[in-house]
Order: sequence, then structure tokens, then C-alpha cells
Amino acid sequence: METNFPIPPHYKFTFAGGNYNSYFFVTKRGIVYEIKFRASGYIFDTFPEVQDHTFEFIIEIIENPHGEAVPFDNLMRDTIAAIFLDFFKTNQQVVVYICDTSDARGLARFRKFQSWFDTHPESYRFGRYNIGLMEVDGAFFHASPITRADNPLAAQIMTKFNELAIRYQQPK
Amino acid sequence: MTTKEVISPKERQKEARELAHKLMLSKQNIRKEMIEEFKNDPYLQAIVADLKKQNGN
Repeated sequence: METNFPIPPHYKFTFAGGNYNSYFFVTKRGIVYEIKFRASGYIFDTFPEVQDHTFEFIIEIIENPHGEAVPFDNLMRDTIAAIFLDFFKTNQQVVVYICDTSDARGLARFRKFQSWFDTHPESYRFGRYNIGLMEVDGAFFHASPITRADNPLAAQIMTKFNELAIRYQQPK
Repeated sequence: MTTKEVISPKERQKEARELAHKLMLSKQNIRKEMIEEFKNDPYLQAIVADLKKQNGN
């Protein structure tokens, strides 16, 4: 995806290619991250136009050599953003970020992601909708669909997600 | 003449709950899968080794 701004400094990353849909990068403290975009057509199984372009977004620490709590790293936001910009090569992709917010750490992760997203200079190119808190088997989570702002189906995608949340939150 | 499927609000709510459940399970399982996949895949390990080398880790 072309950008109007110079991409801020970030960690070098590598796309694993093939069926992996994974990106890898290593921080200055040697922590290895994998960012995966997992094909998840089931989310929009009644919306065939977007089904093949829907992915769950996952950030996972693959190696933490010192076993330490992950310290603040000012390159993280811009590395994640650079990977997003690389992944959204066309305006068709839909990425769903799901975050388990059952505990304070989960909630902090979710807020951090929101903050990264909202403060990045390229965020205006994307649309994000937070469907809010859902509870499954006692665990709480948030889900946010993200599309490029120029995705012609963006409004419908957000509406579908919103419908899901409304239906879900109706009294049992 | 076409027949339009009518889904009751209760059925819709059930569908929503099932999807939410799937999303949550997927989230919980995929993290374990990713770590296992990395451990067992020399190709992914080579990618990371190369990144570490370039970073001077």
C-alpha cells in the first residue's frame, strides 16, 4: 500500500510467504514476534463477497530469551503499522482483531492496540469498529474489524459486525 | 415464486453466540498452534535466525 508519509523507523520484518500469512520480527531485546493473518472466512459466512478476504490478526511472542516482562518499546507501534500497510495490498482485505479482555493485562493490550492504531499518521486510511465486550464461557473479549477506508464494502462489513453484537447482546 | 427463509430472533441470537464462541476458541488455540508451528518448522526458524543476524542479536 502506498503511503503519503515517510514510514517511520521500525524493526525489519520478513513475510514467511506461502500459506503461513505470517510476518516475523526481532526486537532490540531479542524478543521474537510473529504477526499472523489467519484466513477466517467463517466470520462472514453469509457475506460471500468478503468471505475469502477475511483474516484474524494475531500478535504472538514466539521467543522471549530473557523471560522478562515485555518492556515498552517505541518501535512496536510503527513495526505493526508497517506490517499492516504491507498486508493491505488491495482494498478488499478485512482484518479482525480479537482480544481477550478478561483480565487487566488483556484490557491493557487492547487499549495499547487502539492507541497504536489511533495515533499512527496513516490511520486515516483505515476504518475500525469496536464491537465491544462479549462474554463467552466467563471470558470477556473485544473484537474489532478493520478495513481500508477505500474498501467499497466497508460500511456493510461494519454493519454486519454491529448486527452480530446487537444480536449477541439481546437478553437470553 | 421464491421462498424467503425466515430466521427467528432467537435463532439469530443463537448464531451470534456460536460465532462469538468460535472466535474465542480460535483465539485461544491459534497462539499455541503458532508456537508449536515455529518450534517444528526449520524454514520459520531460518527466517528468524536471519533477522537476528541482521539485528546483531
